Amino acid sequence: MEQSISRRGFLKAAAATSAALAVSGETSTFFDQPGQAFADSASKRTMYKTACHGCAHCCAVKAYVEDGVVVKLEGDPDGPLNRGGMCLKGLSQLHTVYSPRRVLHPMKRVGERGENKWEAITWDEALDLAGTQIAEAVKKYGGYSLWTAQGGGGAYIQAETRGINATFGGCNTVASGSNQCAMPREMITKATLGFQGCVNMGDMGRFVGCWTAEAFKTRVPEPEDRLFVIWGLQPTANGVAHTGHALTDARALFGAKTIVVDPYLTSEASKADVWLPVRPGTDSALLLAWIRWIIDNKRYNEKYCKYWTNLPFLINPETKLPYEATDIWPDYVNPAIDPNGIYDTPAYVCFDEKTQSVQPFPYTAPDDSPVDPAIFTTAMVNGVEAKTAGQIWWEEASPWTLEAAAETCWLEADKIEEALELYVSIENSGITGGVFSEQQECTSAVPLGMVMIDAMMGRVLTPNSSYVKHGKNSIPTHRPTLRIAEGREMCERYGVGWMIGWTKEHNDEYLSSKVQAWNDQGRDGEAMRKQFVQAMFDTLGSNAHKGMHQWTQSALKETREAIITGEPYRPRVNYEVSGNKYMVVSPALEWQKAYAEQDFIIQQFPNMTSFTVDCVDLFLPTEEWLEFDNYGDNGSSMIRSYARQQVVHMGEAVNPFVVPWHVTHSAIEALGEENCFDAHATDGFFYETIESARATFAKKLGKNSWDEVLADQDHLYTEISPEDYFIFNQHETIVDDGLPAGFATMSRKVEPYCSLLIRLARTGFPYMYPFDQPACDDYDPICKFKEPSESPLTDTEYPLVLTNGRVPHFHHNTMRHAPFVRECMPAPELKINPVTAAEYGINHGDWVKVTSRRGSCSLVAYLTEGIAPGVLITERFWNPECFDDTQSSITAGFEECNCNVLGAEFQNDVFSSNSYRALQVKIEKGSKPDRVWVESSEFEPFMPTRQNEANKEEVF
Amino acid sequence: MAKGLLINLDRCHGCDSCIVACKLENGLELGSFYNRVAAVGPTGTYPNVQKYWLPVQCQQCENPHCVEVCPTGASYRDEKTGYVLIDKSKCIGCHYCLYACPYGVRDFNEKGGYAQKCTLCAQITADGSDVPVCVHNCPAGARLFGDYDDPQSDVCKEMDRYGDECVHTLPDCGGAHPLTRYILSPSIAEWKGLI
Repeated sequence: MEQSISRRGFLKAAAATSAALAVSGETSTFFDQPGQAFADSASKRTMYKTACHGCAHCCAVKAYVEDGVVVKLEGDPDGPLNRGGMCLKGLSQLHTVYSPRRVLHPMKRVGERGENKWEAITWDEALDLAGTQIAEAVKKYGGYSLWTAQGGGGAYIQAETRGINATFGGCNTVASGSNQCAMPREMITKATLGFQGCVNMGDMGRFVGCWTAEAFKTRVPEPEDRLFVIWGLQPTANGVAHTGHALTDARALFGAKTIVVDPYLTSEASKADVWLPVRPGTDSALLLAWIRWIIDNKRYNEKYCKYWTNLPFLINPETKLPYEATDIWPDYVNPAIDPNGIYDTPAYVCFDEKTQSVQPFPYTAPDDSPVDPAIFTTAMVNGVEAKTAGQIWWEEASPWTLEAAAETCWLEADKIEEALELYVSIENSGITGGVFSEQQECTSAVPLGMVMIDAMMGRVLTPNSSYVKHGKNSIPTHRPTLRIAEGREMCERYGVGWMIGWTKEHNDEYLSSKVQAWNDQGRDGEAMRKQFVQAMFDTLGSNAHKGMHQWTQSALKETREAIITGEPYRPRVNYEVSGNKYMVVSPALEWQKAYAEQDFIIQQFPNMTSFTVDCVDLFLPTEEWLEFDNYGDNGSSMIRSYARQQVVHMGEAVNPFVVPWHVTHSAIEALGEENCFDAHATDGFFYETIESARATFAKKLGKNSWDEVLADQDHLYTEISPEDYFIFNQHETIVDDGLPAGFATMSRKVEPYCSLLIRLARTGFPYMYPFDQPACDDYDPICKFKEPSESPLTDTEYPLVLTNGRVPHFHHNTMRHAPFVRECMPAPELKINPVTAAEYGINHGDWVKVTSRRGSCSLVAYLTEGIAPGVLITERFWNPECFDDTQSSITAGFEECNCNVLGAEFQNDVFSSNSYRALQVKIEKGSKPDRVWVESSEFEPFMPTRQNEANKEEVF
Repeated sequence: MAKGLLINLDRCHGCDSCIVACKLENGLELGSFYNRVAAVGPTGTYPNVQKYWLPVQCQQCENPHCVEVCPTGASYRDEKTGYVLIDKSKCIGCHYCLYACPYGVRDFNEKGGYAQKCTLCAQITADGSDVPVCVHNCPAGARLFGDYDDPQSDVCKEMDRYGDECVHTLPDCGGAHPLTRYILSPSIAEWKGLI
């Protein structure tokens, strides 16, 4: 530590000199220190293996360096999924790493916000400023005045900032990639299945990868039928060379069939066996129609439903929770009870077909069950009429005939049935849902419906299911357990949260030990835990939307409102570790008003964005992916997890996992450790020096040092052998209590009736145990359909329904400053049916002004028969050219072409997700906004200019 | 020897990565392209539609019109590789080849005053050690490179996997005999034969 401080002191002088030179436009050649990756690359071409970070996934790639400059990138043929492929997002790193937009020194705002005027300062000055601002706010207004913000899966650093909050007793984190992406699907699959199912497109690789080991190695087709139901996701536009390549291989080599549910004729849809262009916002109705058809036609797996799901459980109509056997028969002896009192396997209550009576339903292997439980029935329990969970699902689904769904979803009943016949006929299949549901009100309903369908078919832990576990370590040896929160380490740290599968006694004992551990350190453990839980209760929006505890998140709407109104308190200082927030939070213009109210905003990122220009006070430059060493973050390529290595390194850009350590510790120093809630809350997330980061990465890779890792250039990854990777039907494994392992759920079975959501709403269980968070309205434990708050059925003023999707050219807010990408896709397209376009006099290529109740933006019309009349689709966009030096006047570039200004704050109750999709707009012929570039030649100022920038050693 | 590209449109999903890979490898300027990706369709009427993507670059014709019309020999067939190429030093910028090319895949370098086009990345493929970068990097594995005269080449092996009804060429205008083959299965979409 002492060593690094002294080195930092030395480099500070160097940095000041080079900063001045950089600002004056000269190229610095002082203090060049050849780094390890480029040490001997002069005048010859050297190849370095690394892993792309152009999106949320990871393709193995090769970088070629000449004279310290990366001159070529290409996909690594050894990559398990990309097999040599590298998409335009990844390839364009060759431009963005050397982009004139790169910031290589800390920058302090000198003009007004929005003027884009900056002064280069030293890292010492920057960290002092950051630390002082945070500390002063915490001192004056308390820990809640600090809030942090993260990106999504494509950001170089994502779900780690909760530790910064905890350090200072804060509690609010806003991420573009949580409530609005992946987190809800993760939570629902964990709550219903006991493990994380295929919740994002990254997992599509795993999903497609559910081949046998032999097939994976040889890619030789086997004679089984395979089917993927791709519901609202675009693997070929997201992980283009990763998930897209895998899906393409599955189709071409294995003859895999696909059903695609998507409003637009995506590339997936264009190659699908059946395409169901569902009306945006009505997916829940279609899911219920699938469920109804499968039940009505008795196509479900009856034995699986009876013995491996909670569908036969009788539900107490008062509590909405399943009856446990001891509720009815207090003296009932549960045969699955753990004599050691550690594991919990409750017995429930069913209607037994054999005895035609209500009976206890203990957990057993299916063939050992004393009962033959009815799935769909109603029975009298203690004089009360109770339905089974299956019956509750059936009654919800029963209005949704194919005809009813066709009418609501704007589909053809025959097509829905064609899809269903295909789905039920191919056993090796499953449904994967995309991010669409998390950007509208049906966030929790859709994954519940998807789980129900696959669970009814018994397609869990089976080949080609979305719900599979990998590797020998995933084979259970005892009753499976799960602490479902992704932020579990934070709750666990302070002795909060219920481990599913443990008894109450064992949970209490464990949590008490955590409290005691703090006592042993001289802290009041119980007081700390109460303070932590209070902060969780005080997290903005967390009372109404308790599902956000899954990733320890705040609600966008409630956070925005709190900043504006100061109620219940005002977050004042923001630390943002991702790029252009205006691209990913909506309604963007309302957020702009909130950000204007902030006392101080710190951002770390490789380049400035609209967000930087519009509201940032202190900008901390971080490295591009060719510049940073990393392992363990977004590095999964099915059987392998890849490390990234530093290939070049310019200026004073710092590893994104190192900057937060220094910001946090600068604030701790300014505040005094004794005034922090937990000065070590970020330990393990962030690193003081690149050396400490490398040591950690090396250890995770099973190596003694980072040098040892680099010495084996061809193996910058850990690997699970294909034989050990594909392990199906793990729930049938007999474990140490003599019973089949089952699932890490409350009942040890798949729970399509998600009673955990009921308990969550009422007390915050399981996250907040042993404390009770004040109750909110119950959450629905099953999928229900609700017409979106803004609907084309009733909206005459804004008659068109708009949704959005992905294009392969960008990952969320990336690559708008990559010149070769922009000339391929200069402006966001508004896909519109020619019939609708004609109604508005709009021609192909026309600029269109699109207006919702929140604002307007300009998009380019793309006329296509690939979308229904009355439905529109576009993608989010921003225009970094709007604040280019060549412009005579500037804007921040997020309003012009960004459909995110149209988004609404209609929320999902469980997760608080806003509505960015399935909302109502009106359109008219428009014109190209000022400053926006569309011609190839206009992008010249984005061409790379920094190839001559000297490679420098890390600052920290 | 007839080395060229084969593009499997059953796989291609129109991501434009081949365009960017090409431009980076060949140092092309903004506005210059050796290859393009056209969306063909959707044809039909919603929701009964078909669509595929058609990447187009120099077709390496057997009877290249560009060579025929070139007054200086700048457009030529390279003896060693068999590629149709352009010798920039001999090009006088007359544009004849741009007009003669049936597929519109020649580009004019305004700064240098010469015609340019896809070279099959001759700088890395001429010695047989590598494949064009659009082939190497294609995120869908849709592009293959090889000798159409060699049954063991990647292009011939890929064609063998599909029936004759799936293998297409761009329309043969004036007997140019384009070498490049496209695979498109009728189950994905009907081949439109468009350029």
